[in-house]
Amino acid sequence: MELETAVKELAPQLLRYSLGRTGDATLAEEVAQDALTALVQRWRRHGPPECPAAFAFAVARRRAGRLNLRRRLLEPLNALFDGHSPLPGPEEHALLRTDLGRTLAALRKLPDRDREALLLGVADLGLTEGARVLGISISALKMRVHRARKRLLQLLEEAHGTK
Amino acid sequence: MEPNDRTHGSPADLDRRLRGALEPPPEAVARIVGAALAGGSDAARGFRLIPVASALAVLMAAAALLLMAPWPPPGISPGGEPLPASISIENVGEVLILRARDGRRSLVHHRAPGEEASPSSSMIVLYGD
Repeated sequence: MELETAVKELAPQLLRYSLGRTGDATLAEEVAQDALTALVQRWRRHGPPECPAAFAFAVARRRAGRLNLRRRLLEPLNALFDGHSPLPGPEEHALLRTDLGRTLAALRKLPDRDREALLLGVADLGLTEGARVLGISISALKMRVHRARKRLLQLLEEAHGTK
Repeated sequence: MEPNDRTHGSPADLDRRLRGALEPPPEAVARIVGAALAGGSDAARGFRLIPVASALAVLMAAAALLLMAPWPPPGISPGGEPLPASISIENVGEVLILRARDGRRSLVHHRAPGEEASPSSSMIVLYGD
């Protein structure tokens, strides 16, 4: 596989995964960009990794985890110094009325491990690669995805008021 | 009613909905592909290394200062023993006796303001070696 082809194939998948992890389009772009850049550098210096997708997703996973942690740590300080209310503002309310907003809100309510497993599947990463990225067995990954889907369905139905 | 405003019973429906919701705009895809292939992150990586480089520079400067400082410091012999004092001060009543290493001694008496000098009534006693 050529580097350029791999990068073009992985870019939308990484963006999808990163948006699901961070819930923020700008941060998602930053995460996906870092992951792809790491892949390009690795490829040019030492040749292609054994599994380019697993390599890039592993980088994106670490980066998204760090960003989320930093955001969680800084949230109280930002609220204190910038005077932001922890309650959703008009923009957040508008976003919640869109499908993306409702989906992201429901995703946020999933446990981290289950959300991550589901998002790797949604990003079209194969089961083998997904299990490799998460460092778990394929059956454990399937279990997490199943649990996440079930819970997400409940949450989305509750959000639509169909239940 | 939005097309997605419906119940999503099957996993395939759910995945489709998630993919649709999380689908990135083509311009964002093009942007990150272009930046990654251009290797633009070398500069970004360089910027990220600035704090590390600054910390290293400060550490090296501190090390250089320590190396250039005289050793042993004044008052300490090369063996680490304190050197004998060049002058010792001893207080006897209101008189201070300053004793130099070469044996010279000076006497200092503090006279309070208004106190009249009365040399005839003072007696200086030197004692010791």
